[in-house]
Amino acid sequence: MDEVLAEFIAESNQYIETLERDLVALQKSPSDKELLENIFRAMHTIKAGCGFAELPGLEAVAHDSETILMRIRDGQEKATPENLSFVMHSVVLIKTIVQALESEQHQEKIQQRPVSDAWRIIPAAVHDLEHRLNKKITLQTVGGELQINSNLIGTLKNILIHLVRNAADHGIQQSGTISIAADREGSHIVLEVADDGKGLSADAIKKEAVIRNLAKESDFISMKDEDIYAYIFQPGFSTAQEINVFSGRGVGLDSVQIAIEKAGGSIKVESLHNKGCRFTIKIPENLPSGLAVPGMKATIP
Amino acid sequence: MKKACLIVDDSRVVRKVARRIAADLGFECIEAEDGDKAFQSCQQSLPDVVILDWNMPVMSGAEFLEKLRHLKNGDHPKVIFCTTENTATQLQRAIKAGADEYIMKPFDSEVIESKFRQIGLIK
Repeated sequence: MDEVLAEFIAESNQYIETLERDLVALQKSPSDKELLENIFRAMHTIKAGCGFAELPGLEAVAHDSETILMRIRDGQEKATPENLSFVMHSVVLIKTIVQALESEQHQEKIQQRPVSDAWRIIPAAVHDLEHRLNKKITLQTVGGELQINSNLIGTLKNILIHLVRNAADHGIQQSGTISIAADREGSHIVLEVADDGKGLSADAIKKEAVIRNLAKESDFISMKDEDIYAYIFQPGFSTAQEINVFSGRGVGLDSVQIAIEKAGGSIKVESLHNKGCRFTIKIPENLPSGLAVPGMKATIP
Repeated sequence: MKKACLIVDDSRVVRKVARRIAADLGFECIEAEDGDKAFQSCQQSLPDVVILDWNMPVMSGAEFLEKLRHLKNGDHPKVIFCTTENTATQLQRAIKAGADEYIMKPFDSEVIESKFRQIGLIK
């Protein structure tokens, strides 16, 4: 749940209470200026909050009441029972919606899980890879306690399996470390998968991209390394059958990128020659519930 | 040293959003929920910029601004006054009272960043 929305719910609940109390009092003493000012301010604050919490429908409801209250305050209207009842109805509507948002928020809280659930399977996968590839691989994880929307666990799990296998296959040489780290950055979950292997070879990637007709030699003139590295996410850049022909990478990285983009996120890769490479994935936390991320199957090596 | 931004608004939602944006722009943020508390904060130390709500209990934005400008060095803080469409008519009054810029609610990071740039707070 977005922090601003949570703050909006808390603040609105407080102002709804003020509104309910003071509207009843104003019905009894319609000329009380201070009551009217309190009511106006409460409605005004709720309206402003709706704008920030991106609730345009509710903002319009609050706006209509605010307008009436302002007209009463400025003497253009009277605090008639009709006018006050209009405002009261708006308050009931606002209250209903805020309560619905609150219960949604509550449910989302229950549906939080530690991000480490997404890599529960990884130690076994790494163990298996060590045997299969005859390499010594250490796995490090950081930030596993971070609570995230449980809808994301499946997506992150699939991404991790691809990237860890990719790091084991192509990054790590005889021995090395794969590290996974998760953190929250605003409304996004940031996941890093790094290895301390040989890094990406810009030359090999250029060569491969030309062979595969993804680029011409001249495209690379004055291209920054990071843009050259991005070719590893191109569909058809490299296939499983050819993984060992060059020092680059590319097993299914296009499918990783597609899955991440479908989830509204992004992936980038950084590399230091002979010092390894790091994939950074950013995914918005509030993936619409029930949205499956197609295009990827978890393949356990 | 970090520049200081005083956020004055009776809404916690608005303060939270503004704080997040100003902090991202590298500002040290102080919050005040009304004009009175904002003025007390200014008496202790003057911020470099004030994001000021107009309609507040205890002391309104206009009263605060007037008192601020009468403090010693009170013309130092840039004041961005913050309004909704309903109070847009108060714009003239606010500029006359010494506001440097105004923004409409709901604002976002782009708006604040561009206003900060216009009044020379950031490059």
